[in-house]
Order: sequence, then structure tokens, then C-alpha cells
Amino acid sequence: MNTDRLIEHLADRLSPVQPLRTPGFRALVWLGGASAFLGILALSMTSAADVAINGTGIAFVGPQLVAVLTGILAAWAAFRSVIPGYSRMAFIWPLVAGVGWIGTLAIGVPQAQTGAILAPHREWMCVAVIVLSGGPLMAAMWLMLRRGAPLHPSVTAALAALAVGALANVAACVSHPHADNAITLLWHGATIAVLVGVAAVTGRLALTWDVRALRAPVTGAQ
Amino acid sequence: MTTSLPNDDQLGWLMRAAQSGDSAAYVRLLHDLTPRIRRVIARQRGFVGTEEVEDLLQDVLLSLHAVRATYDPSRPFMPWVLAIVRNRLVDGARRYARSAGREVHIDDADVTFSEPATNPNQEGPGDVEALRRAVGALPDGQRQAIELLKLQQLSLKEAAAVSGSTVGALKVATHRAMVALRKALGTKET
Repeated sequence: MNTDRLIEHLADRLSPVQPLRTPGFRALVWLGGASAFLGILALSMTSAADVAINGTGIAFVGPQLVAVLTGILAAWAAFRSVIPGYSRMAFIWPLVAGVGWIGTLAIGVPQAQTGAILAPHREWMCVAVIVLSGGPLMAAMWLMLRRGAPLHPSVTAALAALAVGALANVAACVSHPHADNAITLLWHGATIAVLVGVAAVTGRLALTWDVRALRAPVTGAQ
Repeated sequence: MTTSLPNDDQLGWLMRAAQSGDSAAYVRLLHDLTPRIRRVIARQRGFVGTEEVEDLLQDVLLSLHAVRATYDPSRPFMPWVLAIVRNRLVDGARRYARSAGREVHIDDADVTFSEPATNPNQEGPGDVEALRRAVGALPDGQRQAIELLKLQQLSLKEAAAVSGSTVGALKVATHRAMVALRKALGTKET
């Protein structure tokens, strides 16, 4: 195929496009939708007794704030990762926040009761909330990310999963009180880790350069 | 327009026009970008041929077209382009590594398989004079069978007609002659 001919072909197929808004703006849009969705979900599942059990102490509120921060930074980094020309340093901040979130939860681990941590019948509900509420959020983010460039598909998908998991984790914590942070760390942390891992592996398949359709008419005409 | 290469601002302006649907600006932009991208590819992939450079260049142009909405007019243009070029080069290298791992390069595919390396079991001509002496030393019946069937390459029926013998007798004579020749020439039966 001749390059000059390809350029003519691309110019013939040119249609006006609206430049994407900045990654920060797009992250805000997604976070707004995600917050509304999770807020409604959490409110519908939370009773006054749950709120009373959770309390407003730093032991409960601290990890939630750091989890929200992790979600915000991960969403922002995911949207940045599909725009060519940005530094990849942004990928580090969600990881730092994630480690901080684990740290805030780990503080409660030494006091935890092993029996309570390993009581699966109690915690599957949390796993279900994170996974099921994360589905629509992930789908929405995937639709938004697809409009970008799949420069680092695995990293982008992993960041998206981290954003979804971190925020869904807050909804699960609010709507389902836990005996201590160790349970949250083990069950929520493991669930999010699995989601991030699956996203990283499948991201390369889900986010691809879609150029074959553009090339086909030119090569077919040869 | 001057013949000098347009700067980043001019390229960014052309891209903004292209985002608005201006085909002429887009053609100008891609023609301006092509030599730059070609140079980058040739520099970073010095080991590939001209054809591969053109393939990679076209891959970059297609990718650039597919994600043209990701260019933010308030940001510099060339870093945006170079990020796409780098990414496509890495993908290209990955594809190349994958396909190279599955391919077996054959420099000289001999259709008839006549080369000695492909015929390890075949005996060479050996000592022709010794063979001639060994054939001459065979009994008359065996020597005639060898001459008719192996040297003149007649069929069994033809050889039987020429020698006045039977097909069965010729087979036996040939077999015995071959055994005697191997013994005389010191070769093993294969």
C-alpha cells in the first residue's frame, strides 16, 4: 500500500471530532456518576443501626477517606493513561494511596479476632456488593476509556478496576458494618486485588487499537 | 507557504482544523508529519528494511487518525504524536517477536532432496574399479542378472526374456549377487 494513497484515503474518511475533555474533567464526570450510583445503592442497603455500629470515629472514617482518595486518583490516572503525551508518573499516585489504604486498615489487624476474619458466611455479601455494583461502573468507565488511545491497556484496565473497587468498597463498608478493619482488609482487599488482576490480564483484549477497519478498504482495493 | 518544516504550533493548528473536518488541512498535516515519523522509525528501528519502515509509518498514521480526538489543542502537538509513534513501535516489535518465534527460515529449500545432507542413508559411488572387479568375479548367472537388472535397468520380464531364464531364478541370482558384492566390497546391508 502506498503511503500517499493512505493519506488520501484517511482524508476522504475524515469527519469532525470533538476533542476529548481533559482527563481531570472526564474523571470528575465518571466520579460524579459513580458517587450517585453508589450513594443510592448504599442508602438503599443501610439502616440507622448500621450507621450507629460504624460510628464516625477515625477507625472507620479514616480508611474510607483514603479508599475514596485511591478511587479518585486511580480514575484520574486511568483517564490520563489513554491520552498520548502525558507522563506515566501519574500511575504511581493511586498505588501510593492504595498502599496507604491498606496501611490504615492494617492498623486494626493485631487486635482482630481470627474467627471473625475467617467467617465467610458474613462477608460474601461484601464481595457481592463490590463485584455487582462495580460492574456498571466498570462498563461506564470502559465506554469512556475506549474513546482514548490504548497506549497501556493493561495498566489502564487495572487502574479502572482499582478505582471501581476502591469506591465500591466504601459502599460495602457503609452498608455492611464489620467487626474490625482486618475483615475489610482481607475480604475487600482480596476482592479488589482479584478484580485488578483480572482487569490487567483482560485489558489488552478489551482496549485495542481499532485500525484494521480503516486499513481494509485501501488494501482491499489494491 | 514556505518550504521549511512547520513548527509545533503550525502542526497543532492543522490538527485543530482536521478535528473540525478540514480535509485539506489534514492532508497537509499528514504530509508534513510523514517524513518526521519516518525518520523517527528509521532511527529507532535501524535494523528493519524500507518496506517495514513504511508499514510502521502507515500503522502510526492509522492510529493517529483513530485517536485524533485525544489531541488537546491547548497542549503541544509533537509530544502527542511521538507518544503514539513510540507505542506503535513497541507494539510492532512485540508483533514481530511473536511472529518470528513461530517462523522457521529456510534458506535453501531443495525440492528434490538431492543434497548429501538430506540423504544420510544413501551410499556414495565408492570405488568404481573395485566394484567392477567384484562384478567380474561373480558367477556367470549372477553377473548376468546384475548387468541386466542393475546396470541396464531392464525389468524382470525383459531380463528373463533376454537371458532365457525365469523371473524367479533372476530374483534369486540378483539377491545372491548383491550379498556377494557387499561381502566383496565390505559394505553393510541397509
